[in-house]
Amino acid sequence: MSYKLLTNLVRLIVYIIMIFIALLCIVPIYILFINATRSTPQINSGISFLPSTFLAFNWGVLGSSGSVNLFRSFGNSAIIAFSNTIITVYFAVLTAYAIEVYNFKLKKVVYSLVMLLVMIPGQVAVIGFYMQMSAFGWLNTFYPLIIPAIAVPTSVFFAKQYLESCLVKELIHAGRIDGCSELGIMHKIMMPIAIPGMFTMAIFAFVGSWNNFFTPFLIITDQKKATLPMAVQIIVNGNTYNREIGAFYLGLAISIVPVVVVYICLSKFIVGGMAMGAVKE
Amino acid sequence: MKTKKIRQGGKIDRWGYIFVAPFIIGILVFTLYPVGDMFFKSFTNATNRAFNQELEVIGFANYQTVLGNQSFITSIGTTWKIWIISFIPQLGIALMISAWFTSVRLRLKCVGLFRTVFYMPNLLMSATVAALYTTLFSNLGPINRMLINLGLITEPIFFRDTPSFMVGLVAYLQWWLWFGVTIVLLMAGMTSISPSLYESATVDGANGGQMFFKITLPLLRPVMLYVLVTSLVGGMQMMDIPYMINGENRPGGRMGEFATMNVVMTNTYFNGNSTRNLGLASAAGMVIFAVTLVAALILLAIMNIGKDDDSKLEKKRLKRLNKESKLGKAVLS
Repeated sequence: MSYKLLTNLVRLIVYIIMIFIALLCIVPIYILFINATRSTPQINSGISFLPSTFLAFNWGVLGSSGSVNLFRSFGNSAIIAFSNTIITVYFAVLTAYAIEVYNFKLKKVVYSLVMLLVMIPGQVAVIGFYMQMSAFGWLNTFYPLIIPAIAVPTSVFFAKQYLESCLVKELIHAGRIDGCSELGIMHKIMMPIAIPGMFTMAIFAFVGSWNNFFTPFLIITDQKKATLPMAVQIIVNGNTYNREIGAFYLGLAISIVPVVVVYICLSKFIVGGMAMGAVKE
Repeated sequence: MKTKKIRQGGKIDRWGYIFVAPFIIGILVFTLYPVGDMFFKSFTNATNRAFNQELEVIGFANYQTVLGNQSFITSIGTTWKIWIISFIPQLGIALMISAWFTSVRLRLKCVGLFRTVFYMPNLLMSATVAALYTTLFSNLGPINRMLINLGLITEPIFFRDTPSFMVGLVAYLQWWLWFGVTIVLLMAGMTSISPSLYESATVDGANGGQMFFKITLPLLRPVMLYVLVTSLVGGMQMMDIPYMINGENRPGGRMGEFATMNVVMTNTYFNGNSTRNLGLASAAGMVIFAVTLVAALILLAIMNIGKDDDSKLEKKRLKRLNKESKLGKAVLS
């Protein structure tokens, strides 16, 4: 067999495998969205790839019933995720800027600590975290899900990688000569330069916070304060919409719509950012 | 950085401490102190009833209770089992796909699109993923309906009552959620390898397999190390999918067949009891912490032992390759 023919054959097989794996990724999500528009009898009769007309009906069921209010949980998650994202990005850039720009003695120690915590995150000590929040009287509040965002090692690591590539020291010197304060230099000179990187960080912080199940699950017991993943878990376990499976699927669809929409619009930033964050050693 | 290096400890550089202060405080308050606190409380009879209670140090009693708990001991093995079943295909398939994606010979089209699709599952809420698969595979769910409609089976299969199937499903979902991330990381590592190495290897008559094992794999070591360690640490913390996949308020499966360490810990020490025995929970947390840390350290040690002799060989090989490629080019021109 000639080299060219063989290459083409291999290419064909590779494409088939790729398409198969791509279908594994897409089809379940597609079915989820389709089922959100179908009625319970339709869903019970089997899988379909064409949408139906029961979206409004399912929406009505979702709004009216259940011990857990999905829309309130959606709001809770949004509040937490937005606050978390803003704090994460700002403080990660602040920390990374310090490591990158200043030559203080403990710089290496701080950076090693960041590296260590990237590999072994504080999440492994979740019980200790729970007790600490309990001691602060923060159980059943949103603080434990927002305030720790001042110290997110993975974001600091990413910000450091990013600043390394875009920071212009001459501008910082110029700022100093012009009498700008150090914090002012960071806000007015550095941050505008770093906006694309901050944007990528923001997406990751948002998605991480939005999808987090374990920490809110331990911290929050009041169902009024339940986050979206907790609401989904309650719906699944409690069979809240047992008779209306369409509404159940719609609930699931609502929980992932924001992320899917953001991903479709910004996938280049996200995939590129993921690659940029971790490669260099 | 081309700018002149300023003497350490200069006045301006003190700002560094101010800028990193929030981060350090955050790490101390929300990570390091809790670890220490958990360690201390694991030797006491602490509960969540009163925080000013007189703590009594009770030695290793909590650890004896935790390690005497059969389901907790089993969960350590279960966690490893699920991690290994999902991680080997994750790394293998990701390596294969990223090698194809970066292959000069195949020159695939739509690589960006495929990569985007493969990465997507990782961003989805694992609670939703678990709920979705729970309903897909329920007794009267769509999968059973489809199989019956197709005439493949006459009676619905009780997927959720089949432990081996459910373990496989949990491992599959872990793979599904994470293989895209591994592909993106490995591809970034592969594209950063200089193409001249492959060119010279081609001149030397190396085939695709040889290039993959002799050039790509050794040079991917840093990325592989990162993937391995983060995946291992994450795998030991596995919680969301095994906790929720079964539905019906039975986290970890009917017989606990896919109950990971965190699931058992949460179930035993955090579900329902109004008085939580935080001493016991801390001891369980410490065991999980220790298992994770020891595994990560062993992994790092293994990867580092191999590194020294390999990197020497690598340098030699690169030198030779370079020389030969120059020679080759000289001959060609």
